[in-house]
Amino acid sequence: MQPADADRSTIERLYRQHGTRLVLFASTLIGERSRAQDMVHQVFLKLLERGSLGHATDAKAYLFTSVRNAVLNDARVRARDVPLDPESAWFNPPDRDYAAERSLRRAIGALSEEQREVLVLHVWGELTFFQIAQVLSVSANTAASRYRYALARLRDAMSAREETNA
Amino acid sequence: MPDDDQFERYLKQFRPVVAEPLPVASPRPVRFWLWSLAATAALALIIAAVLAVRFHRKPAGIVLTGRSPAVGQLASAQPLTLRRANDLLSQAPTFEAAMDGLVFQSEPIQLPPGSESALETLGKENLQP
Repeated sequence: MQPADADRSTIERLYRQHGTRLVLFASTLIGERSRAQDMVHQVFLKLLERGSLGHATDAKAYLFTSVRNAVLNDARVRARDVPLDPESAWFNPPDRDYAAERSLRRAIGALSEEQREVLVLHVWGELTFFQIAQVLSVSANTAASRYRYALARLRDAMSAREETNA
Repeated sequence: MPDDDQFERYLKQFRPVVAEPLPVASPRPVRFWLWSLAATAALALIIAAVLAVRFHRKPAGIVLTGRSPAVGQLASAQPLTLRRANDLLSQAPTFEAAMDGLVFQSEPIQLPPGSESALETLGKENLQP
């Protein structure tokens, strides 16, 4: 729980805490990391200008919702024809396995938008299904169900790619 | 085939690339403002000192080298009379120093009643060629 009003230092602290996750989330929606970064910055600059989180009771869920709305309201993204940028990495892979990083990125990009959102919000955003339900305006059960499907599809996609590479 | 938890743990090993810092200047710490204040005060003092030196500088062209304290006292304490001029000339170490003592008295001085300035006396003298 966070207070509704947040001063400048609170908003900056929230950026330090959640900025990286928010940029990843926006990247998976937009496909292009630099634009995702710009959008997250815009969201926070507006918050700084306003000096408040409005009536939000859950700051983390509020921030993810704000970033999602900013992405969905962006005219360029509305076309939904956004290819993944192959050049900009989203992750620092374990053991510097950049082939696995590319593989993961492609597998995430191949998911449906609904599954992709839930997957990223839960695994890397570290949101509960209850919080995800708030962000996406769905029930927590729906969020959990989408997550299970997303995980299964991602695992299949990555296994298939590994078999191809082997 | 790994189960969901195991696969989730594997996915979490991929750490998201760190976001760039927020493009906004953070408010300056108190220490910064204290240093700024001190630096401004020091600068103001230096400017004031430079201005003070400029405005209190002695008129150009007067060189007071070799001027003895006695000459200074005479020059500043009493009006310039013939007697004082003689004293200055006799006490000063050099003629230049005595002249400096005489020149230094630039402000008009009210002579006591019955006294006459040396220049006035010299001005009245009838000089024969």
